[in-house]
Amino acid sequence: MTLLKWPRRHSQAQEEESQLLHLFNSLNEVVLLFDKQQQVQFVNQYWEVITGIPVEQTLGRMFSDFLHPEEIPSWSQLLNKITPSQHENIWFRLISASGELRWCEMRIQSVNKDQPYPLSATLCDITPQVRNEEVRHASHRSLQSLVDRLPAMLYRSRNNASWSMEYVSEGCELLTGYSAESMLNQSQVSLGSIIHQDDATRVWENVQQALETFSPFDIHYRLTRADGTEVSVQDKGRGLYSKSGMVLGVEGILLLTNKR
Amino acid sequence: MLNIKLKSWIDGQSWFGETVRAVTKKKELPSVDFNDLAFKLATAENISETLPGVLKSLQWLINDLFPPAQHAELIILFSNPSTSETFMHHGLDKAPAAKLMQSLHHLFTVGKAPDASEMMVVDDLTIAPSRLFEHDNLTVWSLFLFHGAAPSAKQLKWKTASIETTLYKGLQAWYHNESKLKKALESERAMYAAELHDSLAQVLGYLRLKSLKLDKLCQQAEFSSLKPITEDLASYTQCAYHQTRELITSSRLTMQSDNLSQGVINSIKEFEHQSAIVFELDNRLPLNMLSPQQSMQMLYIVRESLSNIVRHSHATHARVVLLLKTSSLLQIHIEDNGTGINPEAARSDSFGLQIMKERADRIGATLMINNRPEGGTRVDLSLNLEANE
Repeated sequence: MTLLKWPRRHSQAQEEESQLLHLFNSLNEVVLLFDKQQQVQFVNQYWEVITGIPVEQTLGRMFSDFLHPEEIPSWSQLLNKITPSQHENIWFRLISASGELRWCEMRIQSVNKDQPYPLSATLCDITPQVRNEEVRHASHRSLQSLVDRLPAMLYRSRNNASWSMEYVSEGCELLTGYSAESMLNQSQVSLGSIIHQDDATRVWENVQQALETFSPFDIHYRLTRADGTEVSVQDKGRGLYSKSGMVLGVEGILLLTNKR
Repeated sequence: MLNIKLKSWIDGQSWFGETVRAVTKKKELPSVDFNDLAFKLATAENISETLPGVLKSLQWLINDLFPPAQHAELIILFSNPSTSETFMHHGLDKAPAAKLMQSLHHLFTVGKAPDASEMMVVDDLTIAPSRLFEHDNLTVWSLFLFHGAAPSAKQLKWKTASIETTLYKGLQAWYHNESKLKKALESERAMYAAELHDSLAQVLGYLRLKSLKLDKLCQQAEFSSLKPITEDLASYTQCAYHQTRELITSSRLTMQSDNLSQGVINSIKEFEHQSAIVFELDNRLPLNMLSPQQSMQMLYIVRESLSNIVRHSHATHARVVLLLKTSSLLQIHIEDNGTGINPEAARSDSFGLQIMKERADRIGATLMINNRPEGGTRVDLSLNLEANE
């Protein structure tokens, strides 16, 4: 009886194992297991999909062999600080079989709660997301540099007498002598406070009139710069409205003009 | 006064030592002049060539100092945790096992550095580490490896003290000299860059404007015979001006960092702000292995390629790859997905390409500029490091 039973139980365990393997291999995510020497003890099939490196050539090798050299210090750092009670998250670049780079996100933790090794990890390919982010970043960066280099001050302000700024471009410093940061949200100085006294009322009225009629404004006035000198500027802008027609703010551009 | 006193005291001591040795020692110790070894290290032209020789001499001494049963070996380990690099030097006939080197790399560079004075067991060997000194991000260790039974800590200290002092003195002095040399080189380069900027670049800037104006004036029919000359004048002046500016920039960049990787990173940052192109840097160079001259020329070529991408390519993506194809072949690829180059459309500033080639030649590098099959341009620069040494 026992002789007959024993092989059956064995095959059941084998079956369970192969089912588990089947499950791991069906995932669209890499599952990994590392031993104390940081060698790969287990990896599922999806690894080959991401990196093009066969599973057989991966098992038993140091995981750092697959990392981009610049990622190795942060990887070593992560392994040094990992403790059984917490999991860690890391982004890095892998070098695929063809030599191309794949951006990956890894979640890694100890398998057991009372000892650091072995470590289990999941890994997903985030290359498309990173590439999209890079494109977004590049277009933002390029626009930002363009705006900040213009010899003019682009702004978005609230519709109040001090014209408190929600956004000011770097050209602010060129025109007013005050840095863009110092004018943001009136932190140190407001545009309203440096408009020439004799012009302030006219500026306010002209802008309000334009806002009423939903039309752009084009006005000239004088500013007192940080060093006390006076400059003439041209301010072209328009209102910012909600769908119901409520004024949310004012956007425009300030340019230096020749002194009258 | 004090010096003389000290010297004569040492002389007396060693003389005394000689007589004692003659009585008690059966075997002659190999004569090792510690001062000479330290001096050799301190004045080394290339430390990685000199150090093994010195270690060999020390190893002979060690073979005599320790009984054969202990089988002691000396290794000098340079650990740089910030780049995750370990270099080991030894004076042994047979290099230590790869597995041991891997373990030491893990122990000293990847992991937390061990306590300097504790002996430890690694791969069945007893290792007695001693932290010699630190320089920048580098920690220099001396390791005594024992294949058999290790001596007691006290005995070890007594036997190895002068060896460690020699290595400490020699290497410390070498690093000290190196950083002094580097500083001197930097200030010299800074001076030349400033000179160039204030003198030649200003004059060339002026000449450029005037020659362009002259060229424009000569477009009238009555001066048509002058046209080829003024055209040449304008484009050569433009080229000289452009080159001078780049020379100043690249010498400033290499000065800031004194290594190619950092120079490339800084250049990419700079060009990123001038365009909406997505720049991708894939830097697989382990450490800077180029002379300042090589770095500067390579950086010039990279910058020229990047500026061509920004100015002419209409690309949306550009990629810069720095890698070591083999241990002695450095390669740089710069590619973009733009319109590519038309070799026949000789623009006035296609001088740029010519200068890139000349600069590559100067350091023995090969440069190829081609259109990519999938569109855009690809610049391949390769430098054989061994051929240049």
